[in-house]
Amino acid sequence: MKYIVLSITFIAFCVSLAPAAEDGEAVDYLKDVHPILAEHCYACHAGDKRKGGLHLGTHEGLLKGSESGPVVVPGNSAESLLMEVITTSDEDLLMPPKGRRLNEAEVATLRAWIDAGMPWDESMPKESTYQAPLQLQAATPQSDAPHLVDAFLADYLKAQGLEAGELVSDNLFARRAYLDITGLVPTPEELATFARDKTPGKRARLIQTLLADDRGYAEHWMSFWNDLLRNDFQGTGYIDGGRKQITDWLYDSLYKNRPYDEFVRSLIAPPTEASEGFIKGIVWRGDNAIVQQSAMQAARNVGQVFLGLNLKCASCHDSFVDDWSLDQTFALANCFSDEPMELVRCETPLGKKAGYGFLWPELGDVDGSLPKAERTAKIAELVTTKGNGPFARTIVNRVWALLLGRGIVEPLDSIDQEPWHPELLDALALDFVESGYDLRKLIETIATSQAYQWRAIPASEIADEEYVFRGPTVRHLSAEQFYDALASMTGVWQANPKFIMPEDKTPEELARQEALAKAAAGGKNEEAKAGDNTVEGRRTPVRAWRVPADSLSKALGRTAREQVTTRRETVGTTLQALEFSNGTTLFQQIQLSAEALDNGWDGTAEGLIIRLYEHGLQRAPRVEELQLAYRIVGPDVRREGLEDLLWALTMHPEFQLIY
Amino acid sequence: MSLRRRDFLKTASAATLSALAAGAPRLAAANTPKFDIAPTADRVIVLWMAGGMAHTDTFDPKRYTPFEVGIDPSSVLSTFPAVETVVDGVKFSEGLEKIGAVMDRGTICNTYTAGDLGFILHSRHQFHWHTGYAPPITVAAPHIGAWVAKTLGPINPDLPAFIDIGQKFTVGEAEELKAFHTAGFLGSEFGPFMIADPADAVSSVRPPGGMDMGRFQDRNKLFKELVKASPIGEYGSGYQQESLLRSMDNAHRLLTSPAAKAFDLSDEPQEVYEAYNTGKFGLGCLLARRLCEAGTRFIEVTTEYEPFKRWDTHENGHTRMKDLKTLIDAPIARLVLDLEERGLLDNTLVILASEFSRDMVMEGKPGKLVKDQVPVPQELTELKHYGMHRHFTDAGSLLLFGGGIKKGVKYGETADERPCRTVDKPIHIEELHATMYHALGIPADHGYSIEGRPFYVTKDGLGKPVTELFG
Repeated sequence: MKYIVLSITFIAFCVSLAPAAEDGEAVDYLKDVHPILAEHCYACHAGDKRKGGLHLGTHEGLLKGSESGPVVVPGNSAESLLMEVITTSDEDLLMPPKGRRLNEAEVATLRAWIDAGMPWDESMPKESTYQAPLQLQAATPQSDAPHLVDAFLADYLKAQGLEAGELVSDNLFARRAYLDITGLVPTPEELATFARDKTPGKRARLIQTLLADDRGYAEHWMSFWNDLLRNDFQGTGYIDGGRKQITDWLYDSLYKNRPYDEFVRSLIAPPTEASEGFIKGIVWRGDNAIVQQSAMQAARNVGQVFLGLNLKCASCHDSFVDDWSLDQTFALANCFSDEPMELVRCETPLGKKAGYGFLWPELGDVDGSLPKAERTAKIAELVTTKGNGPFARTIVNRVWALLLGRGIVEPLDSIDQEPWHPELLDALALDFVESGYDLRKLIETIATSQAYQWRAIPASEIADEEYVFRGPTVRHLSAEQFYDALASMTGVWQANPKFIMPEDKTPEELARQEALAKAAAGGKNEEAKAGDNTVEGRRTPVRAWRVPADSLSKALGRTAREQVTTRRETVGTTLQALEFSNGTTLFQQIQLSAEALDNGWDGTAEGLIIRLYEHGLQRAPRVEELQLAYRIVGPDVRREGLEDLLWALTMHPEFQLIY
Repeated sequence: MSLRRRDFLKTASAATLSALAAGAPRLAAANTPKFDIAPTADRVIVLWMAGGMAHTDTFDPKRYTPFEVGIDPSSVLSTFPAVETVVDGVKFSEGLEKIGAVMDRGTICNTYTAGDLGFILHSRHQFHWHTGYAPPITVAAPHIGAWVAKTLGPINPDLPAFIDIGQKFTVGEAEELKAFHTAGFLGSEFGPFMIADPADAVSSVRPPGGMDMGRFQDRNKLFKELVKASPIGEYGSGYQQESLLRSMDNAHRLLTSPAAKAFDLSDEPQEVYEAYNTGKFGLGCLLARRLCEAGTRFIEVTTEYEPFKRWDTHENGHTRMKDLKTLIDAPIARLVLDLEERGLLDNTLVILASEFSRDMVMEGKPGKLVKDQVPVPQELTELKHYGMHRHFTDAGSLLLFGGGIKKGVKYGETADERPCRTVDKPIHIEELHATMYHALGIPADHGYSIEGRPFYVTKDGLGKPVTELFG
């Protein structure tokens, strides 16, 4: 398979035939010319097709011409072979050889474009020299650094002429590690214990200890997987059974660290109902076009989530931005379909039956005569087979991006693009495969590297083009991390969880939940909630992922999960700041938090301030900070003063960002 | 044309890519793209008749058949008599006299033809109306208000560019409503600022929980001082840090700005307040007027969607219609007049619309009927069966005022016998959206690249503005 790398693509999508440019108006390649070439020529002369050596998908290809010489003379349509072959009456020469010939308007458009000197657009596809191999490639680093990541990075730094980054302090490291693995900020006691440890390798040990916390790990990583697998407690589709949750199964899988290959197979070919929600997709009530139906969603989501490739374009027409074709997408979708599918291009049925198959035929075939369950099992096997490099690369790259802020390949859903370090990516992927697809081990490998401990680089100092790795990127707390950090500082957690921890599934708790649900169903929602709006009602450590999104968590980037989300938006916005400043969600949380702190605190006001700094920001306050805070809190811990201090601390960049 | 589209997309995509790559900002609102369409409006108010407003019982009355026990439902086209409007030859259904009296300021069109989305559902049609795309969709489609906010930015930078008034999310089908009340892939910065209850709008710009302004300001001061005293300088002043601090400043600017007064309906003279106060929707219109004056770019006021409530008349349609007309007639007429009096009607495009229409016996449209959702008896025996109870998609009413729209004109024709369908000049969502964007000077093929796919303000960039609507 040949990959074409695009810089940026704006190619018309499902365009109807564009007429020739109006009088006096310049011909626009994107709008006027591209659709004509795409319809009539690309089947044989673009993507990985080069009939007669001619490639019309790129500017270079057009200028280069075919095996028999140039096909266009910019500025001179009369001398251009292309014009001749599309207008000739000689059936042997006529292009395209099959199908509808170009109409007058289309011919006129191409003529005008060539005569105008073939104005191109820099943003159009450029052929790249990079081809991602299907198989993972083993390499040996020059450096003898003991850690896989650091060894490959040492080579990289040398080649780039860069120095290794400066390592962050214990406190910053611990904050990163806790937030990345358990989603919580370390307590002052945990920080102190870590600081007291003077033995070598303590940072690696901290990572290992945190990863061994089954519940902490599962509770944090649920949000990542819910985004990726489009799973939530509420959303469209649930209203009439067009959607199913996989929450219980997912939590259990993370808790038990189910091997990733097996995990994915259970999602693609669900052995039980518990994991079938992902592959079924979201089915809105009513008649849905073929591109919206469950089987097509399955194909697209398998492609995007597990293989880092985008089949969205190719589920409607042959993709203009990569090589995936409509036939390939339908062949994959067909494996998930109850009934044999017919090909539909841009909502127009083509009167042809779709085939059955996987994206890379070299990995294996799918027998269309098998029942659906066996076809999907075959797809599950082909997706997770060791020969399928994109499978391991994609998840490795996602985890790297989560922990360090930016992927080894970007965008994360285009794993066939050129990585800034292909050897590192494949080395991590191979290591992951050899570990038995152990997700926690993968996190451990990345987080125990020196690179993970480097000083973080502000996002604005990172160039998109010609990206060079100089260390982790400064990151925002996720919505869930924000809620949970505040909760862990104050002991006031979320109310009304939609997920009951397996260990809490006692008969009493289940009865209580049922009663609450009944009260809510009977329109007594407020009553049901009233008891939870007290400090006492919120002592149980219910993490933020276990409750539905609210206006604050949405403003903080929690997604609606109507589509697969592989990266959250984490920009500080005015709507978010309004939620911070005058939203009731945060205000109530702060009020309850201050009440809980106030009632549970026996020490001095200074002691409380120091503790809040140590727990929220992982450092002691400076003298000036302590004075400012003391001025507002007062010697007797004024309740409103404490509320305002808590608010100011949670607004603090050091609280909201992971440096 | 080519330059505009190409250059703009280039900037947009570069920004999108950088956002993807490094969490950097997308194209800032200040970088208003240059288009070559001369705008006739700089702001929009959508008056949303949520739930399916029957054209034949509102702005397109047909033959009136009063209720009698035993009448054949198929003989009933309208359940109200028609009344004259100020425009010669244009009649409205009884109960809409006040709007009829201001129709010399706008255009009536009854040929809105809703999309063919199969089984007719409010959720899908509302999504389609507000985004131009039929759900589910592979990328998160933005609400038209978010497109406008993103493209043109705020008029008054102290105010959110897109404000949505009157919809709660605690109703049935709430998830389906949330699915289009979003900026989608454009980013939440451009999403709707939701005001569920206009009477209490002021609370969205007041300090929370009864906090007084003095404490509110002090709290912010404390925050700034603490940041200043902190060692964050050592981490370098990155974009993320700045955007956090800047957005906090923006929020406080709104809350302390004179523009915040626009949210406070108690500022209105009692007479005006009462003239608008036909209910939540009426007050929503008053709030819309105040926000429009203060410089909000895009405002939507909804009668509020709730399954089987308000315009979702599956039963008792005739009786309920009287109340609905009372709810909308006075405030809409007053809004038009007030905007005019303030010199704002010329640059404000007001659009009244609904996701589809209704008919007494036909579900769907001629030639494409769908499964009936409401049984209609052979003959009417009870008043509750008298009304437009089925979803009809082959015609529908739109009112357009201001923003360069022709005055005192009717556009398009519908049949006078059942099916009362569009017979001349249909307007589909692509055309309606393109017309709105055209008024704002935004071309219908303006768009951004997302995941390698170009995504336009109208579906596939193909919407055509109905230029005939402009004066």
